Amino acid sequence: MTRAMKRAMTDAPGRSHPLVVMAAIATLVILLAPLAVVVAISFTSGAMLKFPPQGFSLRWYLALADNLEFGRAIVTSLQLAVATAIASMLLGASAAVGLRAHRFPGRDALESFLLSPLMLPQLVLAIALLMYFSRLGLRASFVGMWLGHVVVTVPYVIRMVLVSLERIDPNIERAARIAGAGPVRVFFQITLRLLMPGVAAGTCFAFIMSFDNLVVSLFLSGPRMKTLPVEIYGYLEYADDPLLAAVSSVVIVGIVLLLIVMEKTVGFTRALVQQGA
Amino acid sequence: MLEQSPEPVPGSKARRRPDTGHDLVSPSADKPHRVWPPAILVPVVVAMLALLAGPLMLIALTSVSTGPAGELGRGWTLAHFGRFLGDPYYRSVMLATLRIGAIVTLCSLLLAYPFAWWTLRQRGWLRAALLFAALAPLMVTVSIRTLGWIVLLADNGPLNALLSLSGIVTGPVRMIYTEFAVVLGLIEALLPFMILAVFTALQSIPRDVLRAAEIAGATPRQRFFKVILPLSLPGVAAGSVLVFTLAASSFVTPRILGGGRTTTVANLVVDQFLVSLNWPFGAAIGVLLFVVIGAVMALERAVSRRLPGGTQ
Repeated sequence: MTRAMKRAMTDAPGRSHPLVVMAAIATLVILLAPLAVVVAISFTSGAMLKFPPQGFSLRWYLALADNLEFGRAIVTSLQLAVATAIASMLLGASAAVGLRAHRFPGRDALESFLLSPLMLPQLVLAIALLMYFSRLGLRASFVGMWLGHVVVTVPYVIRMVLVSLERIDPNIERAARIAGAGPVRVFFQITLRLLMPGVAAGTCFAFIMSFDNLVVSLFLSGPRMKTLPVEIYGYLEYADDPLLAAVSSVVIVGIVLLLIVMEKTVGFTRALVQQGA
Repeated sequence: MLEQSPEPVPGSKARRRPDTGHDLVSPSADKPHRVWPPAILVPVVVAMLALLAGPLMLIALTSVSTGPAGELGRGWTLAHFGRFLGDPYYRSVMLATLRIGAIVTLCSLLLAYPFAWWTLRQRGWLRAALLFAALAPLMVTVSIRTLGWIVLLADNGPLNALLSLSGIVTGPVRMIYTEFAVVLGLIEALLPFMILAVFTALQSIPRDVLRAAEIAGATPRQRFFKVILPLSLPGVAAGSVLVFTLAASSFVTPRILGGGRTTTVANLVVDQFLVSLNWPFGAAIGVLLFVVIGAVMALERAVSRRLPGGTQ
């Protein structure tokens, strides 16, 4: 095979139309500009939420360390995200395994039902839960928000574990069986290990989605029980305060670091691309 | 080991397990997770019945109940739906919501498609970095991203500074608290979903199909319009419906970036629940929003089935 043929076969990157490149760059600018601006402003020495920042200082980070409201909200959000991630992992992984382990009448319908929150506008779910929890006395409580977040995140975990299950090469499990391992041992020592990246990715997504959630939290939170996105949202309408930029920057940096770790271990972008939006 | 499969499938990777005669490996061993009984599904089913089916049933019942605070069982009515549909103001809000949803979907597609295409043609670390940069914003809460737009679009903000520097305008242009700001904020919030859908669709087009077109003498332009574009349409449709759904049901971005001037159906729902406290009416609007979105989804399914690369 000649070198030219080889190059043709590998579909060399080639040049794209200038309009394509311009649209792609515009996309990146639109996606990243709002986050970049927030981080830049957080280092302002001025008292205005304005870009470009005036001077450089860490005063708003120091102010953040003294701010009880944001501190409490961050702790609430972290606790909620951890609790949500654990519950979603257990429910989601067991659901995916159960859905693929057996054929039974109504299995497809059950799968659609369990994945249906993906299709449901979160606002509709949020008001439904608000009414429901008001009757149960769970409004404005940690447990209420936790249960609401679990409904939102479980379908994502289910879908990611389902994708992982489908990608397992049955020959590996078969080999273990032939080598004499019992079915229980094969599950725990082979299948579960092969599933781990999917389960881990799903759990990380559940954590992030709970930490990010504004819509469900806004309706289920109360004056004494606010998550960080709800607290920031409350400030957006009134305050003109670089403190907001400082707390937001902390979140942005934290999330990006977590995503980089995910990318290096379980594959953050791969997990998203595999399940196709 | 001899291949004793009765009908060997040529070239098939998933060859049948040869019948070895002795039952060392029972059929159920094909899927070792079968060690779990169906009872493993009980917790998740109970949880979703209690936390999803229950609340949705309640909202449906509340939307047709008469009591102002949403008491059930005092009588049933369709008056809440009639009130919404009969009022020209509410109808105009519904139309505005659908219009914003359509504009956001179209703009997202026009930006996401070239980006996905361009990213797919890159190799190695650059492709990974581009994809990461496009998808990471999805993981930052919408409160924070909205904050960024408030600063960017301010009267004395950087975008206005750029515009006056370039001499396009003389004074500051009002951008924040307009429908333009709402649309821009929603595009930014929802672009990653569209990129993901289009990228997945483009990636799943077999290379052989492109090569076949090339060998058949298709120019790059023909290859794109006759092969790539049609085959990516199911992904485009799926991404569009997702973005439209999310745009039409959003309330944070319209509320903050629209400054209360751009009202959407979702904001009407929020007001009924958190301000007016007319829950049955709010529930009815929520149900209507759900029905409209469900209709759009059903339409997409019907259309997608007819597309060349569609499922079924």
